[in-house]
Amino acid sequence: MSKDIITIHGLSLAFGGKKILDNLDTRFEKGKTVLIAGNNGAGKSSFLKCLAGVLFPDAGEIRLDASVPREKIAFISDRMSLFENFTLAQGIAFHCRVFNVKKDDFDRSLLCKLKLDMDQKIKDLSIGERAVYQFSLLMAQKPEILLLDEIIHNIDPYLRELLLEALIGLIDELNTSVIMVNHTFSEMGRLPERVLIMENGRFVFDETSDEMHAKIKKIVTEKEIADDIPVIFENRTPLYREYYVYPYSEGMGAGSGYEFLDVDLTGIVKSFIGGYYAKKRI
Amino acid sequence: MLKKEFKEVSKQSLFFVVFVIGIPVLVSMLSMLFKWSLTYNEIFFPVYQVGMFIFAVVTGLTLFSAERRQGGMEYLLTLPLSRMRLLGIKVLPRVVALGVFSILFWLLLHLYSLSSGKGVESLLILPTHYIAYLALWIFIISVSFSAFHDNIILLALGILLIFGAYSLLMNNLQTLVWQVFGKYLDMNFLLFAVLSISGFLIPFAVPFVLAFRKFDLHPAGRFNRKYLKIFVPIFIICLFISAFFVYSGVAYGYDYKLYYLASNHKLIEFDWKTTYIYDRDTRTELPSGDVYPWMCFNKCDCGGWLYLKTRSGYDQQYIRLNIADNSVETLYTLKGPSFYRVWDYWFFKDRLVFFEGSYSGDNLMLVVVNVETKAAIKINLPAPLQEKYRTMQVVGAVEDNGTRSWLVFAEKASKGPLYRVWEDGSSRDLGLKGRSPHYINGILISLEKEGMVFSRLTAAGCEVIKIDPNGKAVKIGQFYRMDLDNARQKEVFGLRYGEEKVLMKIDLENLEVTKVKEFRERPIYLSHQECIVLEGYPNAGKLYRILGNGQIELMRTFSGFNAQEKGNYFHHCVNGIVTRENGKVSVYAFPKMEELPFKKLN
Repeated sequence: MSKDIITIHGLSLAFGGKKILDNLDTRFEKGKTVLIAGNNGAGKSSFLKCLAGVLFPDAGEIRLDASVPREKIAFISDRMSLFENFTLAQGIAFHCRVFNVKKDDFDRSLLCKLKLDMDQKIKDLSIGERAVYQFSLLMAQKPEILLLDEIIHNIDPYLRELLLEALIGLIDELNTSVIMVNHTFSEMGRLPERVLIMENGRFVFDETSDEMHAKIKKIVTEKEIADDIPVIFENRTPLYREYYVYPYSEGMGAGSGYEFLDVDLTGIVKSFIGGYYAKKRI
Repeated sequence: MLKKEFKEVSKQSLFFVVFVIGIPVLVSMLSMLFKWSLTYNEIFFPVYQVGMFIFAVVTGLTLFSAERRQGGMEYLLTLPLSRMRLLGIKVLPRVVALGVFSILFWLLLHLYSLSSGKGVESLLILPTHYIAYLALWIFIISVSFSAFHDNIILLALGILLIFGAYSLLMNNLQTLVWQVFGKYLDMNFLLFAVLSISGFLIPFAVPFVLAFRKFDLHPAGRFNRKYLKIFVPIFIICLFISAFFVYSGVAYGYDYKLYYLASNHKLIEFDWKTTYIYDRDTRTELPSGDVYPWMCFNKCDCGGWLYLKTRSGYDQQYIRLNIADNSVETLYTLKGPSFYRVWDYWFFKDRLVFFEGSYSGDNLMLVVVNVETKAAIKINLPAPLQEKYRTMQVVGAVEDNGTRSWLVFAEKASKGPLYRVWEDGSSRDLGLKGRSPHYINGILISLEKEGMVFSRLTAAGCEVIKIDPNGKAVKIGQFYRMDLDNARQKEVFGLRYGEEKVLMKIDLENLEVTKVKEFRERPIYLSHQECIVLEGYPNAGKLYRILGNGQIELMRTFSGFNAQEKGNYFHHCVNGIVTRENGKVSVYAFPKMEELPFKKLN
């Protein structure tokens, strides 16, 4: 088992009177890639910002492994925040200076693929170009912890693939711990080793990838299913009904004739979010 | 990061430079158009100081505005810098800029004063250290507001409000203490050092620094709540501390009283509101308005009269007090607020002379009042004497074949034209050679690079009789200028510039300058008729008198008495010394320094 790189205890955060994070306890292991999903406003981005030190929690504690210096924590926010008036070259020089990176060590290979003009201002980049540019900056830090907040969902497939390749390369090379917030999972494949799902500032699902697929199943049928099967989300269509079952265990519904189907990552997240909205409607 | 901040501040500085150069150019052009007779520098320096305050507000409030504007706040807060370091990096370049602009202001002002000789006060500006202090004060409050809100205009108005409240408190507290306690306080120290630092700067700076330790992307409301949570108790504590200091100051303060010993050994006491005359056994209240007592220090009573300037509302009056029967006569009244700012006045036998003009210094006239008949002659002065920013002085009175003329010096950095002005309105430029002129016993004395220049008045102007190189840079005691009736003076004394411990004698018969004595410390007082030297001031040490023959006589040794300690007082006038030590007033009369008893004094 890997050692814990981040330990969180009793983390709470509120904006005004609204609770954003509600007494969270969890830990993140070194070298693991964790995906955090959830409905909009669940508290995912705020959680990541707390880890990045951009937000201070109202209560609780975030304990980082003492061996991780601040320079080795990299964060890309959903807004892809940078000093926009800098040119790309100035941004690189600034980042390298502040994060103690030798300018020569800066890897321009990603940027070269986009053929970016180094004298143009950051604010003139497209969203995709900006994501790649910022990712290049973070790679130069050789981060031990990488915090990514929804950066790939609105960029084109080519750049998305480029970024994911770079991310995988980074994990392979540096054994970086990645915590990412995302809404798009199709390209993720088997990358996340653990999935956390948030709802109302709490983790309602926390499983490793292997366990996750074994614990969530789907039943597709035309009829109602028995009450003793734990359903987190029900999708009704005129022709059939989909029941997402969690937690699923071997032998569940024995004799009922239900077929428990596997659910992919997108389906898992969708079921939790759908369940959340369904509860809200009630 | 620091480099980025310096760049940011440089941009703001550029705006400042454009502002302080551009506005005066604009106003100068308007001035030419509308004939306001304002020079570029008259506009430049006030605009510079206003610009400094604006710069302090803007640069303080925009601590994070560049990042906010560029959407870079999250990036900024993820940089590997602690909040305190971040604050330091943000504040340092701004403080450096304020420092540089303050130094530049001082330098420009200094160069301007040197080149033009124009007085600093005449440009309606504050002293440089005061501007720097206020700018820093405003900057700290602005910084402390920088995280409050995004609207700079709203915040700037808030700062203006605080500054106004502070000024109001400052002014009223001084009056209040004076009115309630009737005591004089060193209010400048108290107000600026204590009130502004403890009462204002600490409550603004400390909560900001403490709240900034957890500065993040929360809405400003959370930061504000944290800030106010700390601000309120600190403000209350600091207010109590300030009040305690003010109270201590009051307890430690002393009655605002000044004394003058008249030639008939009556003691005049001024306490701003009232003037008392002490005889041996009695005390009489003088029925006059507010008296400006400090004029008395420069002038002696003359012919049994003590000449004073008083104020009643906007009106000012020249009065004279009969020191024998305590009666008061009004000699001349300056009506309304539009009087010239020259406070000084001179007298010669039965004439009192002073300058009168509009408040701005235009239409300057020399007023000669016959103190017996109260008749006043107003003499228009020639154009070279009307030039602005000159300090007007009457340095001599000349009686020649029954006509009287006055030597009027329009000083600008010790230099300027010297005119002989007759009472019929005619005048003549004397073509003064040298600077700092004195007219004593018929001799015009001035200073040149070569030495002290002795001249004699002629029908055409004046002619140099002798130049004594020993007199180079010898500053004659200022009090010789006050009483213009100085025909009896055979010698006067002065101190040498630069080494002002050396007492020099100027022999007016042989026109020679000789060294008398080098004192251990700088002599402070040079009296009107005799030269009196106090060695060891402020620990009022030895009091010497320079006798007519150049001999020095030790008159008294004051041991262990510090005249500068609060409440203590050491004052000389031509007739004696008045001291106050721990509240007890003692009066010593010249020449024997015998102590005079006044029953109702202590």
